[in-house]
Amino acid sequence: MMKTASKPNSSTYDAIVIGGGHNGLVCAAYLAKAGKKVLAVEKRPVLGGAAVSEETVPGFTFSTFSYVVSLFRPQIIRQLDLVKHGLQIIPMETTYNPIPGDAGLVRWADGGRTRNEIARFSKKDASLYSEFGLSMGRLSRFTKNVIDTPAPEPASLNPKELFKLLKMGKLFKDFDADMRYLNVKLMTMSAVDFLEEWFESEPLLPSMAGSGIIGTFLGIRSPGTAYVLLHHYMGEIDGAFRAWGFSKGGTGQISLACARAAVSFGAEIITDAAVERVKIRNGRAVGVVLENGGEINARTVISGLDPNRTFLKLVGEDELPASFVGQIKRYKNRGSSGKVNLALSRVPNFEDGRPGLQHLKGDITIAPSIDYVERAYDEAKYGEFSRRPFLNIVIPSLSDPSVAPPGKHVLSAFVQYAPYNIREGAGKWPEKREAFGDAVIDTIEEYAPDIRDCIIDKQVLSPWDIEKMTGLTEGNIFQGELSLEQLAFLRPVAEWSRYRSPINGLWMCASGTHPGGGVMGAPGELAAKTMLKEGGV
Amino acid sequence: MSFDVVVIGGGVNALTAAAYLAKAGRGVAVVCPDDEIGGLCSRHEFYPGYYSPGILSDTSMFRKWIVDELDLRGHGLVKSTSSKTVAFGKDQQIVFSESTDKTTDEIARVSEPDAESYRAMKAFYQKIGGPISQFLNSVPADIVDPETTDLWSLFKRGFQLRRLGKKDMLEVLRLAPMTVYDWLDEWFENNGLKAALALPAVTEGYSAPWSPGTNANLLIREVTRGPRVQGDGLALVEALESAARSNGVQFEPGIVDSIEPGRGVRLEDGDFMEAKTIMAAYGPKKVFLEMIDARLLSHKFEQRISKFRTRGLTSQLLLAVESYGPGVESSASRSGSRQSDKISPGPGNLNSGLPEMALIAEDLDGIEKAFDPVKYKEVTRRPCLDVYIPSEIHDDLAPIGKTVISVLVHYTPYALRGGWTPEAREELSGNVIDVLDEKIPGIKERVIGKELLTPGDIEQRYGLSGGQLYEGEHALDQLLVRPAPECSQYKTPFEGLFLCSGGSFPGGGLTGAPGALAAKLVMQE
Repeated sequence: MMKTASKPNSSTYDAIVIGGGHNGLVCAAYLAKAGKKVLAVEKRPVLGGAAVSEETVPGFTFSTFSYVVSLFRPQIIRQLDLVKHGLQIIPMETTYNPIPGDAGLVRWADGGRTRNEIARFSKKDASLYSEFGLSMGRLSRFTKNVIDTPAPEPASLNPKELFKLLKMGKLFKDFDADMRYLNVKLMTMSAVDFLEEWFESEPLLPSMAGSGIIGTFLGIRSPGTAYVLLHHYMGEIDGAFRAWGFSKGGTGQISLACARAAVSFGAEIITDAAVERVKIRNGRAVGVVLENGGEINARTVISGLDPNRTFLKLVGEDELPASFVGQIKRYKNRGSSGKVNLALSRVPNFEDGRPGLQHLKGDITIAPSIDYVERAYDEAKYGEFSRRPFLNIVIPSLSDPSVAPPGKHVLSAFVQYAPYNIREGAGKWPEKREAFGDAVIDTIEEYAPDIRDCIIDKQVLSPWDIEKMTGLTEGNIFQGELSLEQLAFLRPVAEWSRYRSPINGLWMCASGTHPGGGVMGAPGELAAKTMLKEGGV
Repeated sequence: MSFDVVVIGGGVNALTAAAYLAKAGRGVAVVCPDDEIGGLCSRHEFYPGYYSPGILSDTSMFRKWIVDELDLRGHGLVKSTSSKTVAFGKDQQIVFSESTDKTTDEIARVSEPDAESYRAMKAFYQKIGGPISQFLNSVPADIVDPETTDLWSLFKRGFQLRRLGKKDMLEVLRLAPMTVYDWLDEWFENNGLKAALALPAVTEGYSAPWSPGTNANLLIREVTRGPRVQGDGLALVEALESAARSNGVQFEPGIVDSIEPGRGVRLEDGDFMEAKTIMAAYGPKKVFLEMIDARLLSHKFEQRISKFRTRGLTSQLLLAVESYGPGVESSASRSGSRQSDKISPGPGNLNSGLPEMALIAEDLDGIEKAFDPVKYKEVTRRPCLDVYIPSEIHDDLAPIGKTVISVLVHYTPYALRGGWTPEAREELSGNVIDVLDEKIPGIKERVIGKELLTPGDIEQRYGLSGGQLYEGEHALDQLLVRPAPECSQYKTPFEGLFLCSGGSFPGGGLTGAPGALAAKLVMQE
C-alpha cells in the first residue's frame, strides 16, 4: 500500500496529470525525473485506474480489472527503476483450453511438450506450431518499433516526418518478401482466416484466435483481429522474451511501483480528488478545478482519462473547434467485456484427468470451437450478453499465494461479450448483472462442475460498472477500440495523434493515444518524452 | 492454329483484353465455348421458354475510359439515363436513379436530414474520387517485393492523395478499414437507406455490415460508379464482342484442357493453339490449380494460390413468372407513401409495373442477421435480396407478357450442414419468395418455374472457384495483393502467361479494368 494525501501541498505546478492510472503515473514519473514539479490527481482512494488491486473480499486481493501483464515496456522498467520500487512479474507458463470430458489442450513453455499436446488433435498443426511462432516473432520486431515511437504523420510535409516514414518503410523493406506479405495479411485479416492458413484443429484455432478479440467489439471472424495475435509474441518480461505474466500482489502493484518511482523523483500524488474540469483561460489550459471546489494551477495539464471524458466532460464542447468535437464524438468506445472475480475456498476441479495443478497456473481459455466464440459475438451484436461467453480465466493465487488466505484462491474471469449498450439500455445493467454473473459461472461449471461449491464470494462487473468505477467511457478497457481506423496516426483522431490537443497546454497521455491500450505504459512514456522534447512542459 | 495471343474465357474481362490487343494489331483468338461467351453475363434456359440473364448485371462500374478507348458506343453501347433501382426497406421504398437530384428528392421523402447528408456524401466522394480512381485504374504497385518503379508509383499515389489536403487524406485513410456499419451511421439515420447503400458492398466478401474493411468496398464502388449500360450486362457483352470481332479477334469455340505457358493451350478435343502470350480470364485458382501441370508450380506458390479466399456466400434464384399485370401495387405504396412514379414501367417486355432492379434489405442488422447463420452452415430465414428483372428490358428472355426474375440471395452457405438436399433447396427458395412477396405482392402465386443456383452450382456453371461472384473475396489484403505476390501485376511466374480476371487487381464485377490493364501491360512488354 502507499499512503497518499487528498490535498496538494502547493497551489501551482509545472504539470498536473489527471488520473492515477498506470499511464498517468508513468508520465508523471518521467516528467518528475526531468526535474519538473508534477502533481498527479486520482479520483478513487486507490491508485491504478484500470490497473488496480483491491481487497474486495477480506483476505482476497482481486486484480479488479486488468489481470495480466504482457506488453509493459522494458525500457520503462529500467528507466524508472521499477524493480527497486517493488515491481515483480511472475511469468505465466501455460495456456489451457479445457474440453468437457477430455484432457483438453495445454500449451507449455516447453515447445516439445506443447507439440505433443497439439498432436493429439492434429499432427500437421503440431509440426507447424513452432514455425508459426518463429514467423510471428520476426514480425513482432517491426511492431515493437511501432509501439515504441510516436506514430508517424503520413500527411505531414515536414521533412523530419517524411524521414520517419521512410525509416518505417525501410524497416518494412528490411524484411524479406515473405515476411512483408505475411505482414499485409496480418494487419488486415481476421484471426481465424489468418490462423487457418496454418492450422486446422480445434481447440488450437479458437484458443489462439481468442486473443485477437480481447477488449474489442469484434468476432474472431472479423477482419482486423489477426494483428493482435502478435502481442502474444511480443511480450517482454525483464527484457527476456516471455509472453505473459502476473504482477506479484496483483496488477495494481505495477501502478504502485510507477507511483513510488514518481514520488522518488519528486512528484506529488493525491487521491480521493476528482477533477471536475480543466481550467481554461484565453484558450489555454492553466490548471484544474476539483469536484470539492479546490483549484490547482499548472503550466501544463495532462489528461490520463479517455478522449471522450477529457474533451466532452472536463473541457467542454464550447472550448473546442466544432470539427474536433465531431471527431471525438465519433471515436468509438464500445465496451464489450465484463469481469467476474471469485474468492474460492479451493481450486475447482476441471475433471480433465491431469495430475496436479501445474496446467492451471497460466491462463485458462474457454473457447472450445470457432463457432462457439463466433456465436458469443453474434449475440452481443444485437445487444445481449453472451449466454455462453468466451472466457479468459486466471487463478493468480496458484503462482502468488500472497493474494489469498492460505489454502484459498482467487479466480479472475475476463468475459466477452458483454456489450455496454444492451438492448434495454446501458442503465439497465444493474438489473442484469446477476444474470450475467450466473451465465459466467454456469459456463465455468460446464468445465469445472464443482465451481459453485468453491465460491466464497464474488464480484461481477459489467461494462457499465467498469465505467462507473473507473470512468472509462462505455467501460471500454482500452480507452477506445483498437480498430485500424483508431490506431497510430489516427488515435484518437486525425491530426491529434501526438499527445497534443487543440487546447494549448492540454496534453493526452493514456491508452486513448498511440500505441493504445493494455498495461504497456507506452503512451505515458511517449507523451512525457514528446512533451519534454517539444517544450510542452 | 497459331496466334500472337490466346485469351481463354469469354467474359467481360476476356473480351475487353482481346479487343484491346486486337486493336493494337495483335493476332488474337478467344477460346470459349459458344454458350459461355459473356461469362457471368451469359444466358441459359432455366425453364422452358425462360432464360437467365447470367449472374451479374450491374454495369455501373464498367470503366468509362474503356468505353472511350474501345469506342464501344460505335458498337451499340448506350449509357442509360433512366435506370432505376428500388430499395425496399421496412414500410418504405426509395428509388435510386442516375440523377443525384432525383435520388436526393426520393430520400427526402423518408428523411430530410438524410437527403442533405446524401448530397454531402456524394460531394465528398466526388472530391476524393480522383486519386482513388487513378489508383484503381492503373497497374498496382507491388508492395511485397517492390522494385524502383513500384516505389515510385507508391510515392506518386501518396502524393496525389496528399494533394487532396491533409484533412481529406487522413479521412480517406481512416474510412477505408472501417465497417460499413459505422461509416453509414456517421452520415445517415434512415435504416432502409443505410441498408440499400451497404448491401452490394458488404456482400463482395465473407463479410457483412459489421465487418471491418467493408467500407473499402463501398468506397471503391462509389468512386468508380457511373451510369449503367442500357440493357445491362447482356448489352455490354454484345458491344464488347462486336468491338472484339471488328478488330479481328477470332473466336474458337473450344474447351481449354491445359495451358502450356509460352507455347499455347491444349483444347479438350486435342487441338493445340499456339501462342507466345496467353491471357487467362479465369480465376487464379482455376488457372493455376486446374489448368497448369502441377509439377511446374513451386510449393510456396501453389500454397498461396490455394489459400486465396474464394468463399461464395451468394446464391441465385431464377424465377419464371406468369403475367404480372399492371396495377399491382407494391406493399410500400399501399402503406400510404407517395404513389407517383414509384415503379417505372420498363421499355421491354410489358408494362408489368415491376422495377428493373430492386434491393430488399430492411436495415443493417437485417443484413448482419442474414449473414450470421451461414457462418454455421445454416439456411438464412430472412435473406436480403438483390433483384434484377431483365425481362423488363429484354424481350427475348421470356415468352411475351411473361417475366424472368433473377434474385441474388444474400447470404447462402457453400456447404450446408446436412447437404443441399431437395428439401433444403425448397426451404431457401421458399424463404426468398416469401421475402419477395412481402415487397412485391402477388409474385408468390405467379411463379411457374424456378432454378436455384447455390454457390456450389454457381461454381459448376460459371467456373467461379467457391462460387465467389468476384473471383475471390474482396477484403483489404486480397485487394492490395491480388491474388498472390508472384502474380499481383497480371504477370505470373510463367513467361508469357498473364492473368486478366476479376481475381486480379482491382477485383471482380463488371468493371473491365483487369482485362484492360492486363492487355495494356502485355502491349508494353
